[in-house]
Amino acid sequence: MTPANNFIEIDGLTKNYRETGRPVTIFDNLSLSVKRGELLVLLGRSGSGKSTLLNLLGGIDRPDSGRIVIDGIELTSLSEHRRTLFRRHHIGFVFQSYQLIPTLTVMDNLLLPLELIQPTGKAGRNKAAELLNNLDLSDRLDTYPDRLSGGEQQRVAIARALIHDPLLVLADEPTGNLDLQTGQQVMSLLDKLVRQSGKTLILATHSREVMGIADRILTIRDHSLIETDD
Amino acid sequence: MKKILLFFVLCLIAIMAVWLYFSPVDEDPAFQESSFSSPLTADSEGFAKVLEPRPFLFPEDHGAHNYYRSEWWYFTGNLEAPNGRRFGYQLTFFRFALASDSIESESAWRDRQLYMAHFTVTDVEGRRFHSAERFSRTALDLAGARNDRFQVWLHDWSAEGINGGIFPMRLKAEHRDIAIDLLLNAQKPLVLQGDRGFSRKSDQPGNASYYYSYTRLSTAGSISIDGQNFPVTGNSWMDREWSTSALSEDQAGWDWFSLQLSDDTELMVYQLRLKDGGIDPHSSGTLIPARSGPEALQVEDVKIEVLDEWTSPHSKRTYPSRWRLTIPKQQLQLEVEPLLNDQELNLAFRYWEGAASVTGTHRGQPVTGFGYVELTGY
Amino acid sequence: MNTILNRAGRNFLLRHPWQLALALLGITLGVAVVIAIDLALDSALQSFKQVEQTVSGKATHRIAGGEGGLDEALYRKLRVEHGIRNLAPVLQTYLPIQQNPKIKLRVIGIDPFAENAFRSGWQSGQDGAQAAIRLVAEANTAIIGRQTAEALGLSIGDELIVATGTGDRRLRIVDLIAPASAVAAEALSNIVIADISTVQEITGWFGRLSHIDVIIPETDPHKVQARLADILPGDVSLVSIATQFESMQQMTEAFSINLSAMGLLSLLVGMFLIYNTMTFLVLQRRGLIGNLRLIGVTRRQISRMILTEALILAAIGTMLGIGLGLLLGQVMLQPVTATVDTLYFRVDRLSLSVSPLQIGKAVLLGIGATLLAVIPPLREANRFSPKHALTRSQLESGSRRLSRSILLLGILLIAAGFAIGFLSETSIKLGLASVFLLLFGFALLTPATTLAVMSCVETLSGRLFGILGKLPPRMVGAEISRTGVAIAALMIAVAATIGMNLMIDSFRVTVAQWLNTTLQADLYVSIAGDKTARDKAVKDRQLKAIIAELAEVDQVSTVLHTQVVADDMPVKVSAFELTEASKNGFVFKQAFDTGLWRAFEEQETVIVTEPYAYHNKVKAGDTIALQTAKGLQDFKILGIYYDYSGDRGRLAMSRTQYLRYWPDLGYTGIGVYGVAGSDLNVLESRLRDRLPQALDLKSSRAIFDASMQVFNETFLITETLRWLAAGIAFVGVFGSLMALQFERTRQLGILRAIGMTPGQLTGLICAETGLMGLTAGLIAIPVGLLVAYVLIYIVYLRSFGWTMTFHLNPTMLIQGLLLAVFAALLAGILPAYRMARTRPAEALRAE
Repeated sequence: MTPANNFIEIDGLTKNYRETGRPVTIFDNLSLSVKRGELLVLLGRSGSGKSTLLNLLGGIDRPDSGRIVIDGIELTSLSEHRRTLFRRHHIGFVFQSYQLIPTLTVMDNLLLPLELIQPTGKAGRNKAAELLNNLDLSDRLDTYPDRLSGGEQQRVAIARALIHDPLLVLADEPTGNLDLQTGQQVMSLLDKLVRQSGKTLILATHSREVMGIADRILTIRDHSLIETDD
Repeated sequence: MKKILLFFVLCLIAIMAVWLYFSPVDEDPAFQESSFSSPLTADSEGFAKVLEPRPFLFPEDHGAHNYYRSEWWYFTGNLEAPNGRRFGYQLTFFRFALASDSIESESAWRDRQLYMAHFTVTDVEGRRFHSAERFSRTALDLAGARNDRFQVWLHDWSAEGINGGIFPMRLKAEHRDIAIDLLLNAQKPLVLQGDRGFSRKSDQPGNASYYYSYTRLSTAGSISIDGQNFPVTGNSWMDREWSTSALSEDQAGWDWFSLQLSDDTELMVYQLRLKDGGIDPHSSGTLIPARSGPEALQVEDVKIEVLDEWTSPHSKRTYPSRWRLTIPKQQLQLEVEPLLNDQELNLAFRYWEGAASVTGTHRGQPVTGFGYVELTGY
Repeated sequence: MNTILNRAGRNFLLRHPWQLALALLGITLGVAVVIAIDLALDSALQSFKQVEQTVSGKATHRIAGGEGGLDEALYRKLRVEHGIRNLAPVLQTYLPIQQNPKIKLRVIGIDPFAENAFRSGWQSGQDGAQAAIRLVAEANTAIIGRQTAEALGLSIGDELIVATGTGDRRLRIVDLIAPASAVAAEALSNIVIADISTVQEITGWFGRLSHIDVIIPETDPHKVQARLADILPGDVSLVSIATQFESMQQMTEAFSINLSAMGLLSLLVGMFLIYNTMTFLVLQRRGLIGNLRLIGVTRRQISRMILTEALILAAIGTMLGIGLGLLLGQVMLQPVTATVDTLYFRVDRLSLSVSPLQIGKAVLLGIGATLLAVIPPLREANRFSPKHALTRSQLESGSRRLSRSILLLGILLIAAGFAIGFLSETSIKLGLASVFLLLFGFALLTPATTLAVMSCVETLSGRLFGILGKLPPRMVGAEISRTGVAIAALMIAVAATIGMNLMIDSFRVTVAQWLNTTLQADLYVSIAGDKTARDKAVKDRQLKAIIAELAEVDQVSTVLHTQVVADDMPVKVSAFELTEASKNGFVFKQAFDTGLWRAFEEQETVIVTEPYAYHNKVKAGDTIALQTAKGLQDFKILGIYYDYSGDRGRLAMSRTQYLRYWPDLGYTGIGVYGVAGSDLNVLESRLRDRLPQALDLKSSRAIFDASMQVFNETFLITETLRWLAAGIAFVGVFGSLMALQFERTRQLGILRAIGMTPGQLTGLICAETGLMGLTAGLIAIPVGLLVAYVLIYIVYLRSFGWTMTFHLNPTMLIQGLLLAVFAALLAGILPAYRMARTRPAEALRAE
């Protein structure tokens, strides 16, 4: 298997944070390959660097050294602007605390990523409506996020992450704020939707419950990744 | 909450500090007393000097002699109301020339003759002494003395011959609630003091004055005090003196007596005190007997003993307050006592001048009387 | 317990230095402006008072005549014939120093021996009596304050050279006044004391006095007053110095109130900032407060915590404000004094005087305003239930609910504003109160209006730009409790600016039109110099004859501006010799009656200026009793004419009538009318050839320009203050908008995460703040118009008695709008810049 065949190629990734003056190493020479359509689960204790890895993959943070190549594009060599455009087109984010735009309705929250790519008319709305329908939210189109329950909000967030057909979906503890049952519902929805569209999903969690859906499970320990066979 | 309180206290202190920095301090400027004497003893260049006897010419000589540095018209008197209440009064007009010449100007205020007047009333029964002073230059006829007829005035205080001559003379003065309005008539002719009116004050030539007096002026009129009006009668004394320089360096001041005795005799005596405590030999006096001409007294003729002293509560200065005057030549022995101790004039120029009573013997006969005593340089 | 509680609060505060600084800035600036204005105004008055007191000493009254002063014989009469004591004659003038003509010395001629009782400040030289004697005995001698002497580099024995109308005069300094205090020293600065004779000689005013100072004993004032009233000639009056100061104060009252209002405007804007900050601090801590309540902290303790914070902020802000106010007051003293000097009375010295009263006032205002502003957030904090920390959305709907009662209150305030404005008759304060009520009322309506505007904008921009277009108005609307306050503060500042601009512009146009009408002659000769000078009237008449004889001259009109006395107070009077043309220079308030000018010439009549009529509540047909040498004389008012040359008003009468009752003081000005078709330049050069050098010859154009210049200078202080108030508002809006954006960091991080570029984010932020500015500006336009209306027709009419024509200059409105938008845009730039540079991952981590 040559690296070119891999959808994501991480090579020699190093990341340090400065915390109250003292550098804290997050990753040291971390490498990883991910195939297209793979569903990867990232395990690790709080603060081990799960979110950081996702941020680096999404291009909203930059490594100190090392390369990240996604679909043949070297993310780490892109300018801030190009990285943003890459993210806009190819990445979908799902956050632990949903992070919906409070001033926009459910529908508008969904349409925002689409409109960032290009103005959409009816087509976009239809697409969004369909997606929300799939997520069982068809009656909540014009509701503001803060009127929704946590599970509902996270479902909207998943829809927002998928609406623009990204190549890669990054989910950071998507069930972290949800009760067990709701979490499972959300998880299975995510699994279903991602698998359906053949997208790659990297999911950071500390919940062992979700590991069942994983193609591969990786654990971050001592600044590097350890593959775990389940 | 305590900390907040502390904080506000600190704020308050800061505010007070700011305020104090900017706030006004009460000021109290005033004339320094005694500073008047300095210009008056300054350089006498250009002034006429009193060097020898001269003839007097009236009414001109009743008026001002502007070429001499200083001059005064001095009126004192002891008066009595019908109920026996006694009063003393003093009304004095001083003239000081600020310079010996005058400057030509269109401004009436350009004037170098300064007048000062003192007015006192001694209310013996009320044990009160009232004093007041005025200053003015002669500009606009605010003050002055006429040479064509008898009139000397400063603002509304005046002494004026009301019939064109010198007598009858009207004295008028008013200050706050104190006023006099008196009519004076001479009982005896004018007395030229010293040597034909030439009165030497020290060895130095020029330290002398021209000096004449009316020693017994019958007086009638009114005195009002605090709105109460008293018809009064009695005797007044008028002194006229002008000079350019009077006291010499070694002289400290003088004690001066003008006494009117019940036997129609008057006595004027002055003693010039030296700084070393002695008496200047030019101290002298005049006795005016009832029916004959004045008799000059020399320093050796008069013996003055101080019998008592009084310390002013105002100035803390100590003045003699009772005397025994002995003039063996005249068989005269008198004891002089102030009618009131506190007759100190605390004005721009500080001195003691007060009404006094007299008892004693003259040529073997008991006499009484009243007079005025002036004490300077204490 | 309390300490820990406070620490919890303090830690929170310290982590939001921006907010802290903003709140402090609000209090500091508000207090600073209020105290600065108060200090500057009061100092102008106080310095006048102190100078007078230092010069006049213990004088209680003053015997004064018209502008010609008094005959010195009156002094003799009082002294010698009537035995009135405690009088001090004074003859004073202002003369420039030869070395530096900019410095004008007040030369006061006195009689050093007149009265010891006055204990004037000048009697404190090294040797008072010695100096007094030298002043009298030596010609051209003077004493001056030590400070003045030092400033001029002079010492005892040196000569001071003053420039007089008849050449330079030398005054030898014989003593330096050593004032007992700094205040006395200040009061004596630029004052020269000389003997009356010296002053008469250098001015040529022989036989004249400026006035006579009097001490009337408190024990029985009426007796002396009654005596004096009997003695004094009709045109001479006895004025109490206290009354004089009082009337000075009254004179400047309108000016003071208007300036103070500007200060309060600043404080009002400052209050918005405090409110904004405290609300922010409470909202931000809803979690903390909720948690504290959960663990058993009572509402009272929460209240105390917030109040303590507010008080500490208030105390620090007030202290800083007082410090800054002192500095600002020092800066403002010059323009304030200059205006007082131009409009009201001469102020001789410039120094700030601070009283504990003023400091106390500032402390009360600063702390009071803070406490007032903290009430709503305090109530908000106490509404937090201990069960759970409220979400922002619930809060917002809470404040939306609140906004209904706010709306009602706003409408109520506006109604009250109108009612007070129109029903309060003549009170300036109530007029200004109405302006404030209107501003505040509309400020309360601002959030609701903003929401309405935002929903319109959203529909429009959503259609144009889609979701991205919807975001800015949504963001404004979503946090209306914060944005609304910022918009309201901005609106108040802009509305006040528009209102003031329109008012000043209307005033300027009115004055310009009036000047154009009133300047009928082609050329004006103004005759300076003192009216008391001897032979002035004769010389002036000769001058007039020379001008009238010129072939190029068609007609000549004259005027004498002087003062007479009515009700024992000086009244400005102009005695006119009018030509047919110059009569057109008067514009009357009521219908013009053709018989007016005949009566004006032939009978005891006057016409009065509008401010005179306003302040003295007189109308055509009334009579005014003027004090003349022959006793009281009634003058009938024929009409009221427009005049903007002064706010105390004046009377105008024909020269014929004037001369029947008052001495001829010559002319103040001569108007020259050229022969029809003559070349004005030729006329001017011909006149210049014939007239003495010193005379001032000006074309009506030049006078127009000079007058407008004075107008602008007069409004300098008002304009400065207006910009200061606006500046505070902008700083405040700037700060609160920035805080708003920083607070939103995380939300902006999400937008970045889902693919928004820094440029788009900047656009978004600027669009939001721009929208806020636009809203503020749009609301400010009608409010500003209303404010201008109230200022012109209510406040200024009441303050000065001037009728102005409302001149609607659209530029002013556009300027206001642009001001609002630019200020708001400016406020968006920094956060946008920072956001663009922040990595989204960091932004997402933000609290």
